[in-house]
Amino acid sequence: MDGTKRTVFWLGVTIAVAIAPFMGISGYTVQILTLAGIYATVALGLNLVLGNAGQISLGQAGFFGIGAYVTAQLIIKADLSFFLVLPLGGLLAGLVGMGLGYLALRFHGHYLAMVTLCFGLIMQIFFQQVPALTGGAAGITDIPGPQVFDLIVDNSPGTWLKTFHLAWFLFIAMAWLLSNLLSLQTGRALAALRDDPIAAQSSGLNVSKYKVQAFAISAVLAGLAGGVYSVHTHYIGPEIFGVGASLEFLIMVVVGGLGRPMGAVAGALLLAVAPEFMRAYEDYRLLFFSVVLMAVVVIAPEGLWGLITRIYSYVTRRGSEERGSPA
Amino acid sequence: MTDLFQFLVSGLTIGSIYALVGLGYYLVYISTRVINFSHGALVQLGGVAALSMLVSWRLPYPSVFLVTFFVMAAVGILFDRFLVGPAGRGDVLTSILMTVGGFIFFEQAIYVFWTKDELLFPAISGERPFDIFGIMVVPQALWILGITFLALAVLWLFFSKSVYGSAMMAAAEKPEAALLMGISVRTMTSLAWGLATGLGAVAGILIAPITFAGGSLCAEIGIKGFVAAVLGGITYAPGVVAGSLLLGVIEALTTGYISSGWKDAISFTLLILILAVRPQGLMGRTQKEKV
Repeated sequence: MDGTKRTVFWLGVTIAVAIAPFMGISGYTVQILTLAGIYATVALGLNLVLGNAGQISLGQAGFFGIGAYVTAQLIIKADLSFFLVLPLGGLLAGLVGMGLGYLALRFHGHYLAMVTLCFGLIMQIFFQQVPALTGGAAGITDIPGPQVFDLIVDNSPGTWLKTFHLAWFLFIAMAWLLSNLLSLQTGRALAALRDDPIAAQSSGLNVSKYKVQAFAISAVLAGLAGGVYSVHTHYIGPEIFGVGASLEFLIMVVVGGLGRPMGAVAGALLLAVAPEFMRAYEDYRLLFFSVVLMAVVVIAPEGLWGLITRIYSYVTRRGSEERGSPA
Repeated sequence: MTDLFQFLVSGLTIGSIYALVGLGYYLVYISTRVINFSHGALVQLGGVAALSMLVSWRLPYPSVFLVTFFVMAAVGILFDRFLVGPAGRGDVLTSILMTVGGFIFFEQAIYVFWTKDELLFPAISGERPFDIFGIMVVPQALWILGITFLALAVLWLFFSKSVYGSAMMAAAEKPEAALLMGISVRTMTSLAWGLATGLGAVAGILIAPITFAGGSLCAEIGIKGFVAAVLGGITYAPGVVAGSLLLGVIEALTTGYISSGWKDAISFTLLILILAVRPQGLMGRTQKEKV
């Protein structure tokens, strides 16, 4: 895409998000889609680590939790504005992510997976065992919504600025920043790191720097998303930020499509929306998604979004052939 | 002083369980270079399946051990043959995703087909503790120590005396050469997976009367077993056993002298430290990575 086309694309997406909740969809749907937007941001970050850098993180819920707790506590205890504390949550998550990134330099493959899994578990124990900072097992309740002048931002029917907007504007902003970053040298460096770390290093690439960067950025995104989550649900507790959540983020990224930003959206939408269509089978939800995950790994490693683009290009190619234009 | 011995006994008991679980990681890792992330869920699946046989079918305890061992061994073999193998064991990310998918599947299977609660499990022979020189020991602890010892002895005999044991080690160390010697690497791989999940299931039955059985315990036992295996050295069986006992004792001492809430955090931190400083484990040998 050239410059003008890009600008039009991002503007179009932003406007679409701005008006989406007023297009006659129910308040309940808006709630679900808000959650999807929050997940999509986490998945976007995890995708950078997993899809672009070829590393693995099974502890993403830890960063999500850090962002959520920092945001919630600073709003309640320090009485600061949401918009001021959200970046702080992202920043702290990013710093911890950077630390984990440096630690990750020492590990590969299976060991890295286990270490990040342990990181997630340690964070969950921390959320539970330090009530002074985190409210302990009871968690934090009655987290107030963000305030813009007199307006309280939430998903109630009357408001023109909704949590829905926060979630998806955050996603768009992050996706835009990342796409710019990845179109620069960073994108190629990360791909080299994923495809052949040893060759990348021997061609003089600072592999460590990019590895740490990928972890830190993914942590920032998870932290920011966590902050929005805390004001969306008005409650956070240690049970939300466990291994289960980390694994769900992993499913989103892999099922949606590794290495594709739109894959993160597809995966997040799938995991947030699908339960609504299988309400009667709520208990089978994760069983179902684990089967989908394993099937994707064996049959369609490019994921849902890869499948969609493949079908799309197949259809358009057939269309142009029928019109008699050269293939 | 009695306190210390009390903690040591409970540490060694739980450490024996970790040894059975950790050996599962060891067997799968040496034969297929895969860390089986679903192992913890398979351990608990063995536990709840055994409970059904005990309570609903009223099978006697010894036969429950045997049936569970073979059924879970079959589950492990099928999982490897039809999912982990075809997905590609060579690619690390793929094998992680596949076994993590397996973890979620087996854990959710417990929730869906059994219950979300943690299930009370009858001990092999009663609950009344013995008093040995002032140290209270529950009978189940003696059973755990005894059966683990027996399992280790059988494993040792299998690997050092039997042709199959040697063939398995050969297939693990040099697959091509083993193939040329007429060893079916595929069969040996299945044998390793079956042995691993079977032993894990036995661990699941043994520990259930002490910690309950259920889906919510999958991650914990899975990670503990892995930490134990890595602590001693995941490529060296005696190291796995030693590391497991050590981890059990460390945990018991932490619970006794510090707090049970932080017990898990300490073993996870230990894992990260060990991996960072000495990835081959305390007793493992170094392996140079080939480029």
